[in-house]
Amino acid sequence: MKGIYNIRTLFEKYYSEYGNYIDAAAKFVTALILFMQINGRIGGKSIFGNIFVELILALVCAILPPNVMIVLAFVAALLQFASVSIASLAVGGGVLLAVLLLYFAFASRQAWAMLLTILGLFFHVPCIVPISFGLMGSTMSAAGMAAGTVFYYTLLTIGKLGGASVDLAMAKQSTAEKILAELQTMIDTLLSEQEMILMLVVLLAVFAVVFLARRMAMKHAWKVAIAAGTVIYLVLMMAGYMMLHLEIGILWILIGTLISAAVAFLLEQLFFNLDYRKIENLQFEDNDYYYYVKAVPKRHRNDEDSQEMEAGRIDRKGREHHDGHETIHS
Amino acid sequence: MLNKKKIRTMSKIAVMEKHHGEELQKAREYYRSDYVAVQLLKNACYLTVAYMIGLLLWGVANMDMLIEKLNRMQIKGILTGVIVSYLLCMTAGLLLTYVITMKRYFYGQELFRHYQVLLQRLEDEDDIEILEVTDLRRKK
Repeated sequence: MKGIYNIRTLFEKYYSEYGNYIDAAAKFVTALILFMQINGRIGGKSIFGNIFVELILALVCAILPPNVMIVLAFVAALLQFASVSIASLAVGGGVLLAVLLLYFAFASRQAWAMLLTILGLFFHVPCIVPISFGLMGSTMSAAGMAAGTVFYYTLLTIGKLGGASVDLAMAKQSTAEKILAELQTMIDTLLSEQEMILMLVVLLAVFAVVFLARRMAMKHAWKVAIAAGTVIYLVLMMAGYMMLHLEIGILWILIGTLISAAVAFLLEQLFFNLDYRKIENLQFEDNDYYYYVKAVPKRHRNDEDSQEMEAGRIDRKGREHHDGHETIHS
Repeated sequence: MLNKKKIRTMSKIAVMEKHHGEELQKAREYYRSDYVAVQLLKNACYLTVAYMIGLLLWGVANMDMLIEKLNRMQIKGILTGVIVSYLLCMTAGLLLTYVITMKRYFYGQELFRHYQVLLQRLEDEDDIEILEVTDLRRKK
């Protein structure tokens, strides 16, 4: 436990100083993995398949908001679908566009929920996402997760079917009926994708349980929430797979659940009551001076004395607490 | 001479503007009805396009059934189904939009109230400074 406390203290210290660089690095790594997975699963031969293009786009994503990553992932998927077949482009592109429109309509601030859901599903550890966002996110994170789930299964299904279909070069020689039949097969397969519906229900149920449990007024609410979420995930997945007669990868479900639970407990140790304010560099002026201010956050302990010292700072929700011990560096 | 209290207050205002500038601007510039109306209009467009894509894909998947109905001149039935499903989707979507937008609006208003408290404090500190200068002049 002391080791985790030391890690947490180091994390607080380095994040406050280098938070912007850490955020950029996290976005770069996420974007690179996402683009590589999309290209690997669909298997097309567009320009997005080139590793250098992926690196450049990941660098672009590192400095821009996370919603840009989602749009670029959509464009990458479209180009890969186009290089496979017309039918893949039509069905895959249509479904992904509809998902994106609904995402921007309802959950445009939940980019990380959507991105991490897609990555969690790629790496067979989807349980991490609803537990993490149930602990630290808001209600609209559910919409982001739902969008990510549909995005992932569309990529997977169309990628599998498109690989066995007519390719672009041959499409010109195929009849309209063949393309129509291919379209119908793809749409039917996608709509009857029972695993997608099961995963959607399970992730939302786990999120709801964790979200409600961690807000309860009881000791160790986070631990109870993590345990409840893990159990619910395991039970629903096993029951769902058996009822729908799907192929069960029991090992993957168990391993994924164990990893998710471990990560969730680690998150609880690192982020519960964490003060993750960064150093703020500010510029403003009045009638007499220009001010270049570097505001360094103070670290407070979580005890009764620090409750009073907490007063005076403005937290992320804009609520001010009264504090008489701030230091301003200019 | 630097007024530390004033610098502290201005720093807090600057941090708030940096992290919540968009919400503060919207709370300042929009009435509730306008804010909600803009969001409803934007989402109505998104939902309509998403619905049309879904309808197209559904039409392709059920092409045989559609052609059969068209051959039997059951156009009215098809149109009724399309319109009813569109209205149901739009109602559900716009209701959800309304709830989310109202929640965001009230959050923005709460932020703006805190922002105004800080501005008032800044104005009060300016008054104190001015009063001090006046007192010094009187003493001379």
